[in-house]
Amino acid sequence: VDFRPDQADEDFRRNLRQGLARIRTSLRAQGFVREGPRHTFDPAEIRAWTQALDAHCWVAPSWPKEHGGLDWRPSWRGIRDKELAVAGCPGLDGIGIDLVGPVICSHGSVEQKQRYLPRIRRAEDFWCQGFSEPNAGSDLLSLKTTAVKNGDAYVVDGRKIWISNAHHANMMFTLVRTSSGPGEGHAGVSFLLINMRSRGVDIRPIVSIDEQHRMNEVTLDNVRVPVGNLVGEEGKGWLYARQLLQRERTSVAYVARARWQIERLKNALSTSSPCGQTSIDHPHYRLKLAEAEVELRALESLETCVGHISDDDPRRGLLASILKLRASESRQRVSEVLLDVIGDPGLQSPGESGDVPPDFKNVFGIPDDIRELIVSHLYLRSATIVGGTSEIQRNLIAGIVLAQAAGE
Amino acid sequence: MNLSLTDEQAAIVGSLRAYLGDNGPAAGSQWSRERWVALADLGCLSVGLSEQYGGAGGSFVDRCLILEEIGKHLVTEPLLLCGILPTCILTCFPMATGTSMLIERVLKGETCVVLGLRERAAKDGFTGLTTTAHRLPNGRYVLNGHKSMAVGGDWADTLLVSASVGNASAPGAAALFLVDAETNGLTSRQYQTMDGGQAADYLLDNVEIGEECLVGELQVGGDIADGIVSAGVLGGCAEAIGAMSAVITMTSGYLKTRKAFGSTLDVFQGLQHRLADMVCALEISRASLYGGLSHRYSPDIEERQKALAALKVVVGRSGRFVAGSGIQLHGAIGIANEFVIGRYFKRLRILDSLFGDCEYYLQRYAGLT
Repeated sequence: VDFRPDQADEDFRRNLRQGLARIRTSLRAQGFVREGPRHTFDPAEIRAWTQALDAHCWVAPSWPKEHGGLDWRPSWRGIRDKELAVAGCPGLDGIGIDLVGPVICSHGSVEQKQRYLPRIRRAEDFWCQGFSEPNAGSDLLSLKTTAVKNGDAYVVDGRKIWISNAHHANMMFTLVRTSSGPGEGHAGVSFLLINMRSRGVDIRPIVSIDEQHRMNEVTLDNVRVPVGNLVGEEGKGWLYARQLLQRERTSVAYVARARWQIERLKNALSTSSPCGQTSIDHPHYRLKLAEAEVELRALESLETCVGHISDDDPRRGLLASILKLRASESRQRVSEVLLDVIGDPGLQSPGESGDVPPDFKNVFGIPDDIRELIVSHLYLRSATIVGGTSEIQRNLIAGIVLAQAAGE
Repeated sequence: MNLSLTDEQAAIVGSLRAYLGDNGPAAGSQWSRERWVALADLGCLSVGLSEQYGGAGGSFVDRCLILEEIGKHLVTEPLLLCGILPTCILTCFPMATGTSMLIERVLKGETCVVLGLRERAAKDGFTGLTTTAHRLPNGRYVLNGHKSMAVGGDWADTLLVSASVGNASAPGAAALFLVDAETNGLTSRQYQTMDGGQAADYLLDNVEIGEECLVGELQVGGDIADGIVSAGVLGGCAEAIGAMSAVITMTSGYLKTRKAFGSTLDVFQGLQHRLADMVCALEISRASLYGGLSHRYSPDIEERQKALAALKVVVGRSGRFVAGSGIQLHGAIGIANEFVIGRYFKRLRILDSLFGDCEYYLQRYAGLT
């Protein structure tokens, strides 16, 4: 047992940092370097960053080498995410890179690998995940979308809902029923790739409580999908999806975002209020901040541990669920504190523009990023729902521990 | 970074488990001399101590692995406080012959040393020390002050005492002394701690000791004091993590066995979710201990102290939650004194208090102390 970062970790970090500095310089000239989190999706910005990173194999380093990966250690994931965040890199297409990419690498056909993997690595495709349905959320196996083979295509019918980025994506991976009947359960579920430009695909926006359009309902009406878009074997879709969902739990934990959030909180606490006293001098807020930082450190350590466990170790699933559960709840708590500190300006509608005259900004203490703060506060309520609700995570954790326990 | 055990580590943990039994607590909460000597023979005191002092070599991580087993099995004999830490502290300073003989006897399990560091306000044993040592012209020292909840009781005849030697020109200067328990001016109130341990509060009223009793000088908040506190915190946290994992094993086994409303308890989601939160608390504590261990040799003292404070907060709060939930999920039997889970609850409370409890460290992290 040795928990210290070693020379190889440090070399990787240094190398990455130097590369990122060069990338920033060249992208800044094109106007693609911004600070803080983003709430708008800018395909050109993401594509520019992705392609610059891909030149160093940093987009999908954990993929097999022949598909553009690196000789890579799990511990470098955390290092990479941290450095990318610090460098002001926008969120890459994690749905493509971290979710469907590895499934295609392990279970895809030669044609699928040749077509989709390079396009993901260069952000030429943007992906969305079509799993949930109106009556199949946490209970995903209740899904009813059907795919019936007809000649060289599957004919797909059904509704998929709560789909992030469907309006930006040109590809969607879905779970569909290729056969059904009583007691079919997971045996009839298959993993299918659908081009969003196909006939019969209809996208309807769903505005979330932050008044943003992030999610969508996608109706699939007699959509013909080439049989070549089936991943792996018919009826094995549930197996692939489970591997994917476990990976999703580590990626949706977003410890890096929690770190940014705490920096923002510190900044808010240090900004003086109209009566001259800053909140950071107040013991109550110092303790709140300390609690947030302490929890962040613990999450970072846990993230490092998860990063060091190989994919086939049963402890990985357990720790990934714990990380997802604790990180999402912690981010919601910190956001509450942040909004408390901001005060009245934090109560505006997220639809209000951030365009406030300077004298109002000063008198009312309205920060420049007020809109982002409100939007992210409201949307954070989804953190404990997406990628398996907190309740599902607790079911999973208890299930694992109880399975190990000695019963009667 | 590597999370797997080396062959040597697996061997130590294996032999310790073989002695303590694969599961569950060691019998009885009363201290046993016999068990103390057996644990010393197994290397619990010497592993992690350099060979030059008669130790078995190895790292602090090895010690934490041992302490995790100790915590899991609810061994209440004060291995950490009266064996591991005193030898660890004594080796921080140039050593007199008498001291190396004392270490040798401790390693063999023949004697132990009471740590007289903690005070009512100086929770970590150094910060805010009120006990003073005054040097006489003849080189002897006079100690005045108090020491709180010094664990060891009548097992030890020597105290290792921290005292301030500072003045206006040297604030924060402190020193450690070995004080014979029979010295004039030293009075004690012996008592049992809630986990079955033996402790005493000491009053030091003009306790005069010889020059040879000085172990060494150090600076409050400096590297040596920091290293001592860090060893105590990491060791105590490792023990707490072992105790938490035992509570979870016991509780999940109970849920699978105990029946109510026509079924075993493990089918009830309310109970499952409480158990899941206990597991989260344990694993986030374990990850934090790894984080704390990796910061132990960091050159940045502020970062080191912050990492340590964060660790204490997480492990202390987790321990309270896990043990409390363990009792809750057991229902009434959890309250019975003869049932073991309550002993884990008490033990975890004591472990949290070592070198300052979680609330103290939260304030310290916030810069309020």
